[in-house]
Amino acid sequence: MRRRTSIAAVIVLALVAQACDAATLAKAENRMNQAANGLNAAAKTNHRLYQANVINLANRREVARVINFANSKLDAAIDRAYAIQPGDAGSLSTGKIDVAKILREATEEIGKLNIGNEELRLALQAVIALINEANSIFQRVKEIT
Amino acid sequence: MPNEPSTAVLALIRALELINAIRPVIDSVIANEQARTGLSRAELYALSKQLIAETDAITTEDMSDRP
Repeated sequence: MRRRTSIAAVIVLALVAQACDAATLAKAENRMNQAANGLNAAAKTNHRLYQANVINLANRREVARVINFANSKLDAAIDRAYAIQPGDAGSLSTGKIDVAKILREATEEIGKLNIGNEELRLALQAVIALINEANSIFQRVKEIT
Repeated sequence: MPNEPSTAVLALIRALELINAIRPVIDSVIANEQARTGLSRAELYALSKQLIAETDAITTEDMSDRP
């Protein structure tokens, strides 16, 4: 009686762990969506500040270039994450490495930007934080089902 | 004398009993993150792609020389 309860408990724990893993994946994908939102907001801020003559044309172009670059990297990372084959540990392992590398390229490029405007600087710092958090959570996913 | 179920079968039955008991917990753990956005995985993906496309359009325009 005790033995079969122990076996049953092991099975249930495995299922709960799987459920928690699915929640971790959902959380990571949610953060990536928030990062996409953040870049979108930063792009609109950049556009608005130029139109309000707060920043000049050169600044507008440079900020737009960096956001465009980071945006394309985030796009690639999201596609890479969603392409990982369910149940394939090898696919998940290489996928995590690829996603981490791609997202690092995005945050490094944003980090190099020397922005004089505080509003833009804070907006892009928030994006870096979201991207880093998305990657951190994604690295904790153990299995995709 | 009828054959008695094996230990493995009994363990499986017990597991199913436990799963049924905590099914609401398992379902809520998975649904929690999705509930925060109200979106399925596929919907979240589509929304992310839409945002990315919009950002690309805005930044492409702002990267140009055109004032």
